[in-house]
Amino acid sequence: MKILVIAVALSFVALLSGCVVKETRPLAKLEAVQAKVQIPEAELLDVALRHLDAGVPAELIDEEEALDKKRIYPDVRVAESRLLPMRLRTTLEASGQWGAVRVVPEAVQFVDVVVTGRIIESTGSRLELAITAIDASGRVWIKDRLYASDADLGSYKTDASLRARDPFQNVYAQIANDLVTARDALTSAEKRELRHIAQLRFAQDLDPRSFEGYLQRSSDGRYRLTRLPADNDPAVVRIAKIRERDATVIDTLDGYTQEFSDKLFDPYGSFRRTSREAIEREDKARAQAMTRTALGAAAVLGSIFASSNCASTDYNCRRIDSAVRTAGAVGGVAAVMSGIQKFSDAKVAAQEVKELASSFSSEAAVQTVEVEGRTLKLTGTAEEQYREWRRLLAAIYREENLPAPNP
Amino acid sequence: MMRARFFGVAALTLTLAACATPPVDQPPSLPSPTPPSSSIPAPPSLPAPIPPAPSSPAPESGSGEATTADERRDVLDKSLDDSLGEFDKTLEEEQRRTAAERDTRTATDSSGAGEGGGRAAAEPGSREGDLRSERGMAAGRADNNAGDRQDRGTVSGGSGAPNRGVESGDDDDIVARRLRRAAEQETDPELKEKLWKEYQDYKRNSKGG
Repeated sequence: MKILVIAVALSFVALLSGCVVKETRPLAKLEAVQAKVQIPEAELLDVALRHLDAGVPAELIDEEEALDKKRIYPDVRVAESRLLPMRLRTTLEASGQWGAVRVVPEAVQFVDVVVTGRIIESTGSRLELAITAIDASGRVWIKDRLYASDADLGSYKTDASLRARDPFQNVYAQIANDLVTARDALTSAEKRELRHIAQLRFAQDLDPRSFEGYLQRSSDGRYRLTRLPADNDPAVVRIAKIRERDATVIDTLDGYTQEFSDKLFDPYGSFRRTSREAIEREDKARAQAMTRTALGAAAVLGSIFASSNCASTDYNCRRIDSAVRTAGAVGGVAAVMSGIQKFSDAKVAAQEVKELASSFSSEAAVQTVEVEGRTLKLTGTAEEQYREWRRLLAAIYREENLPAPNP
Repeated sequence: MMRARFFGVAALTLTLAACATPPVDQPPSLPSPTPPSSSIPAPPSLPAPIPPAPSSPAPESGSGEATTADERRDVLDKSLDDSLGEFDKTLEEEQRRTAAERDTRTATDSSGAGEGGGRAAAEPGSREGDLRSERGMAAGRADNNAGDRQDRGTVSGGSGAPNRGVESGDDDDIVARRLRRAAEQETDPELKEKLWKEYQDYKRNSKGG
């Protein structure tokens, strides 16, 4: 009898499970630490933020259904590989802790600090990134560290709030703060040396013979400064001219990404907000479906298989027993049916998320093709120029180092 | 028998090829023609790069009437400067195009929505941040670029230089050039005005004022 009562109770619980309201508390806001004193120019490090790895598992690249289940939409991820570093760039710049902060393609090297990363999860409701930061000497600041946060729902409230603060600003602020911590672990001399190393690595790449011997690479792969060239060394002056153009190329590439980010700012924000709502509906419906189905099934099974404690002649007890079994079974079946309905609701919500992603993808794809095209054009042109400059620098080196003619 | 003779000839050809004298102008320690890359690597084949601006033909190791090593080096230095100048033009053209597109889009956004004007200022990644980092980078490298004056292409005032005695920019150093560029690209009139003022102040001070 006791089991029967429990079965009936379960069927009620199952049916009522959808009525529980889940309260979502606002996230505590984390801010990037601001520079309190002016950092000397010689110690102000430049940061290159490379486009993120989109994080689409290679083994699932053609498995659309599997990707959908994980809420990975490749075209959205490709757009995010540029959009998300742009948000981090804004955070780093606003902190006043760094020199130039630029979002650059993978190719760009020889910057004081290079930050790379991979998107682990990115939906309207959650962001998780794996971040690595390495300086020009090869010193690892952060290695594949995970940064994750749920969305700050306050940011989704209005368009203005979305513009004012990214829903995942906590992630960017945490990365920014970890970079500052890593940088502050260096001495002033090390920071200055880092800038020299970045410049000399650039110089060595273009004119290896003129800049031989200034850097030493140890067995652990780290670069160390052995000596500095004279400021008035003609080779230094030539490289400085090229370095300036290199900085302009990087600025221009960064400008392309900025433009890309600007164009997609509203559509991406809107996509994240709407998809978060759909994801929440899907998750809620799925959780309710699971609970109702499981409890409903338990109630039905309990009603059928629970042994009766009534004596065979106690008709009154048997009538009650029968009524309770029927109630348990009916309630259980109703709960299971309701669970099935919730599964269906979850599927509808999942389809909605997919359609939103598809809609944003088609909008982003146009911009992605454009920005990729322009980036490739410029990097191609730059590479042609570097090739010519390398040849000229090599020829100049030869002229400068010709053996003196015999008298 | 024929086959053995064929292999014999092939082996002889290969041996002779290996003995061929390498070109004098290809020192062994030079980077290969397609090195792993300096800052920017060769991209995949598509799309084609922007056609590089025609630069003066670069001599292999001094050319023309230059006879001494110093003269040949001067010719090469000039070729490098010419090439840098041409590349500046390509970059400036590209930046002008980007700025023009941004201006067009900003204008469209502003006219399309009543409150659209606030976007550029409020949005993360607005150009205010760009300028800050431009300054940081420019100042950080100003010393290194002290020698670079004569070959810099000029930035025309086509994208918004005010008509109130702004200098031509022909003798801009890197800081001035970036300030000027930021001012030209800025679309907010108030901020633009401030940037031009900052540019002029900087120019005045750098001339020993």
